[in-house]
Amino acid sequence: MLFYTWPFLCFLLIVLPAFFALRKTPFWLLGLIAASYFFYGWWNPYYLVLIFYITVVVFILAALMDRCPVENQKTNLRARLLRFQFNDRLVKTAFILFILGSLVFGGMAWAGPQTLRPFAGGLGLIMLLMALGALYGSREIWLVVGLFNAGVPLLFFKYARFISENLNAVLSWLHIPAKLPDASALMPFGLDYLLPIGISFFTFQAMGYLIDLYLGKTARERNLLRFANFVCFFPQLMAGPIERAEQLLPQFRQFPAICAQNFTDALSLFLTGLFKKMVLAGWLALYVERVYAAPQTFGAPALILASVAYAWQIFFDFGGYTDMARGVAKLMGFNLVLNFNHPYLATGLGDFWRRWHISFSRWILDYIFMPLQMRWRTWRNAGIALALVVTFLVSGIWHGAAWTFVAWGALHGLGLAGTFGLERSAFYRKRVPKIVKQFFVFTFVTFTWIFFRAQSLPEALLIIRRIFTAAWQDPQIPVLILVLVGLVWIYEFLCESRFQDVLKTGFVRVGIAVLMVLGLFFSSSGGSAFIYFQF
Amino acid sequence: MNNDEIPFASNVERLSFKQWAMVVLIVGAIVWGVPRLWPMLEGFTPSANYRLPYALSSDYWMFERWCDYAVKRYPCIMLGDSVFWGPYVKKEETLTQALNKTVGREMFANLGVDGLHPAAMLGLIKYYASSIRNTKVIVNLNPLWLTSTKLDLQEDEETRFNHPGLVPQFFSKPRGYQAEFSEQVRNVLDRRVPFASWMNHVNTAYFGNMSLWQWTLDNPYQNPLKIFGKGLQFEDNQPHSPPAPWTTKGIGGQDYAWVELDKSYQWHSFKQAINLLKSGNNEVLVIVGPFNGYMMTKECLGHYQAVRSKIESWLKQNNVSCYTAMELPSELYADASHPVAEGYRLIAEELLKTDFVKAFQAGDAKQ
Repeated sequence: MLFYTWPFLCFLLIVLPAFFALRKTPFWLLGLIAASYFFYGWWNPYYLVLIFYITVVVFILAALMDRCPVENQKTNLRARLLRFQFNDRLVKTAFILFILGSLVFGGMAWAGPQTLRPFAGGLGLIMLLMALGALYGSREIWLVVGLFNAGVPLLFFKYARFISENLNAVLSWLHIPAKLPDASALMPFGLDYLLPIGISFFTFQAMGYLIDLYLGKTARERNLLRFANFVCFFPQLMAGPIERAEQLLPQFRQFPAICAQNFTDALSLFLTGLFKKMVLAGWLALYVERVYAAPQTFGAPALILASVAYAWQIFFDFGGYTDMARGVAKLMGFNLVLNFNHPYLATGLGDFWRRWHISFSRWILDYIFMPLQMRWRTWRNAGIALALVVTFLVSGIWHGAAWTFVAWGALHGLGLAGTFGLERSAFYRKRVPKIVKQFFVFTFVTFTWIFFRAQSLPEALLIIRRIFTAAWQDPQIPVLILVLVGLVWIYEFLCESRFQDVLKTGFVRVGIAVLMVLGLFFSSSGGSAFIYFQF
Repeated sequence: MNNDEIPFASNVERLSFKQWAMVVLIVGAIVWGVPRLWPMLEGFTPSANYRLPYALSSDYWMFERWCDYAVKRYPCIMLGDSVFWGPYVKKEETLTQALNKTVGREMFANLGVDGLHPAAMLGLIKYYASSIRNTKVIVNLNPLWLTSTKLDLQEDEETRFNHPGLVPQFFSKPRGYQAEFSEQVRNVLDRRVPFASWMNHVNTAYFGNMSLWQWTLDNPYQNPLKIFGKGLQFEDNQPHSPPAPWTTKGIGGQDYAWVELDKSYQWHSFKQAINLLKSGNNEVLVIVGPFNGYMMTKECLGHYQAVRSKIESWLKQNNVSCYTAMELPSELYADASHPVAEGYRLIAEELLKTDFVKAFQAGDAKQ
């Protein structure tokens, strides 16, 4: 159910009145969960199990983690096994249940129905890990078990096929007569092996909660309904923004205060998002798809322009989605974080990542980069550089199970590692003109988007090679697209200039809104799914 | 981050209630006004023998415009599918023009639309032909739509057919019609909101049935506003298909699986269309056929005759004038139901014997 489709409008027309009608009852949280589950289940009801699983398991593991003392206790496993006693009755019960669970699922993996064996084996292993966590009674163990639990579905659905394909290629290269099964063979009940939409987003959100709880940055949520809403809140379920517990969870403590401005703000956000997605991204996509479908037939200008067009397409697509998500949430009285802040006006790569997909950038910065940097701090700048490369490799892999995404992440990591010193220098900050810095950042980012958009690594390399070697043919890009992108660029510059007050006048705002509505009328292409849904 | 600290958005497009009210007013004025003002900007002076261009077959805004124009200038309009439109003949050789020649004056207007099956005709009359109230109408019933469950839109699996935007979208829709919800809503909007059908007209008539975005891709350096300046370019004079007799096309003896008339969706729709016309104080003549009996097996022909007599008897019971098209010589059929020019001429001469058409020759029809 995409935000710009009629089914979503019908869904909203039912959900909103019901939500407001429940405001004075304790059932509004339950209603919100039902709406979110229906929203997700509309795509594929089977995968509701995943959200439910992650919600319940993370909630329970967080509770168990909270039972453990904050002090770092060194536990001797041998002594622990020999003196089999628990101070905490809940943890003891959990241990017994997890052991029993691991035995049951282990048994099923051994002698159960054929189609269920891999699935039961996986569950048995997870149960065993949980039992180990209970035995140790340590926060670290619960954190690891929690992250593992939340991460396993993501690993399986997103990366299993990629891993097995690549390992099989390595085995074949080594002439080893063995072959790993395809991930689809491990699906229980013969279900299709499909990537659940939004799994990377809600998994990271749940993981973030666990890490924050471990670090003491957030309090444990004791109400399962509130926590379930935190994991599955439908406006941001499919493609973020990835919310922090401290920001979103408190908003579920009481029914949100809603005023007329919520309505006008929501409309403003939704209209802007819809325009970005349907008109700008939709139009640019036509040209990008034409060129990228057969890059070997296009000359350098077309390949350069298509890559620039893609840079804007993905910004409008994802930025448009986020605007709409924030608008829908705002309509219900909830505030979601800002996810984009004029990324193509960035004056450095670090600045770019502070403006692009902000919620995700903050996530990888706080939970991957910071711990790595701390670990390697003795290596000084080399440690920072290495932490950046590793962090952005993870970022690339998070975006998709393909070598193109790995390359994209690696390029950003290397770019950041190579320029973070320069960006801090007085010369760069004071002597290099802003427009030059913006130009170089945009050029580098657009270059990396080639890897992001290409179907394969060889195709990306082909495009780059042709950009530098192919003949200069007529690019056949619609002049109107160039004009439109030019206008958007001017708008972006004005937003961060001293002339931004001109854009805030009522006349300009009304005029732009009218033009956006008219643009939407003419965008009868029907639209396609958001690019970031695949992640 | 505290909730109050979350910035509204990176852009500054944040409208107040008053500003939104202004946007609604301006957009409302555009949506209301443009389809009404557009005819003043877009010249439309149809030549004699005009028929809706084939490329505009699904441009219902244009159909409505042609309908409004025709009702003011012609005493009788002819509403039907391609049998009236005339795919195998030039525009001056259609049945409409054969009739005009026969009566000696421009009395009949060709409002035939290619592929207009009875269920679509019902929708066209209901939503786009309100101006034909109180006029004389000749309606064609092409028996071809009753020759299979597929053409009768009764198949359980998804069926692709002409003019899906004109059939009922949600209630009593054809069984084989399984469009996505979004498409159904868009079709309803097209019928109910003149601006929506006007946009469809713009896309169809100026941008080759594409959206403006798609059109710019094919015409990267053209200015779309200049296209508007040229006005409507369409005049469909030539036959859409070569006017060769069916015998030269290698079509063998057909054994159609005629649907049961009582259960037929198309026949049910046709009856509704006739009732709708009658309720609009229209004087109606139904032309059943023509239909190529030579193409059918004997048994099939028997079925056809049974179906035809049931149709005739219903029309008689409901006091609707009816003319069953004469059987033409075999070589005057181009396919199962379309005559070539000479066939139309012969049918027109026969039609002249009906009281309905005689009235025009006598000159007592309204001018």
